[in-house]
Amino acid sequence: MSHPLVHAEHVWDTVVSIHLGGEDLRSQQAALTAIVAWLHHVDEVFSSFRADSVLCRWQRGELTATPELQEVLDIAGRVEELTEGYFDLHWNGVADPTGIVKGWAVDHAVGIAMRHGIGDLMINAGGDLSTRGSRGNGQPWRVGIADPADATTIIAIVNGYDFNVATSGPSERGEHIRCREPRTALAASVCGPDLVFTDGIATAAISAGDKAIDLLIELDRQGWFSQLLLEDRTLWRSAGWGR
Amino acid sequence: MQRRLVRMTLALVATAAGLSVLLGLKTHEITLVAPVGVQESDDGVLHVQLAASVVASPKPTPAKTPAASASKKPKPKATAKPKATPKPKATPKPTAKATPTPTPKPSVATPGFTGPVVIAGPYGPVQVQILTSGTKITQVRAVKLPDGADDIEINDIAVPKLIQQTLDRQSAQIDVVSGATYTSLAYIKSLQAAIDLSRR
Repeated sequence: MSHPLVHAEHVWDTVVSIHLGGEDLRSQQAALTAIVAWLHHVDEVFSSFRADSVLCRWQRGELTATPELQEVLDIAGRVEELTEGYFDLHWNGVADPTGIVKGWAVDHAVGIAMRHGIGDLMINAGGDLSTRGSRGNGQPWRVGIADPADATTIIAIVNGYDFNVATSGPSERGEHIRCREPRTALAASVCGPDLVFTDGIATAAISAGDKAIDLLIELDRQGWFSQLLLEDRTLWRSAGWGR
Repeated sequence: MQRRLVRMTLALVATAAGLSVLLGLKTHEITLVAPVGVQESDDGVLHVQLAASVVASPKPTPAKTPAASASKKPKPKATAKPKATPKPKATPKPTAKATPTPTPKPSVATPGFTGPVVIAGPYGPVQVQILTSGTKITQVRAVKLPDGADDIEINDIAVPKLIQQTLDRQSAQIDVVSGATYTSLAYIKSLQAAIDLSRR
């Protein structure tokens, strides 16, 4: 019988929910401490609200990119490529990786947990999440997709093991989503490997507007499955997501 | 009242494994939950997209939330067979790749059952008969139509590759919520907060 350690950490102006499975409270607590420290470290380095963050200072040309920042910028370039430019690092005129930092940080947090021997876990950073192993007793994690019109209502459930889910909408905070195309979906959810890519694709699906479906069909072939809640409130799902 | 053709799309939910477990049992509970989309096309056909959950119910359990809509059945706990040993894989990959279900075709000598199905939709109750072949749903037929509908067609049945369900306010059925980023403040009222609290 597993006894998950559950924690909600206020950071990045949102809340990161952390569920660590297993029976070894000592490992769970050690993992949690390390993860929480990591999340706050990321906040200090990448906050666009703190003028003294590494990111802001780099954007002002006051320092060269640290290895961490370089890693995020490199990944951002790959996300841009993967999404045919619909994820746009320079949406704001300057390189702004804010849109993928959360996903990147969660991917690393999952690694921290696993290095502490935690095989069953879930980390949800304000709606973009990563699962590993099972929810307990070998059962799949059950992820609800929230209705953008009413966050207490679920429009779909995805169950499984070892997967990431990210959801974006046109009213996403952070405004890193720039809609170039006319029609947009009310919400785009993506399920796939690596939260940083999964999240970047969800963001791109919104900014791609009516080109989103073409983009998502292509990405489905590469292992990222997606669902769009369209403006008429019907659901479009890529082949991998199923019906 | 204007005669209207109602077309329905049923999104059915269960894993291939879960489904075989479900269909192998005597008692079934099929719940079609609120339509996830309603659309009227130019020719006056209402397209109602439904979602259903199929769960085996050896014993119906009482609804957890008394506030749940009266027309809905208490949702018994899904008893899909737990995977014996979930193997953490190197590449995280959405699991449960069931084969895509072909378009529903009447099949040979299939054990069928009629589900006591009530759709709590805007068009009144609909009862649906479901025919199965092995672990596959082969046909869904409406046996009771909503008022104002003279024909009903349910199509597009597919067992999803990912296991999924559509339902509302069933936080008891989920572990985590994905949605557009919430603020610290919005979190307090969120489903995720409720889940976090309930598991601490």
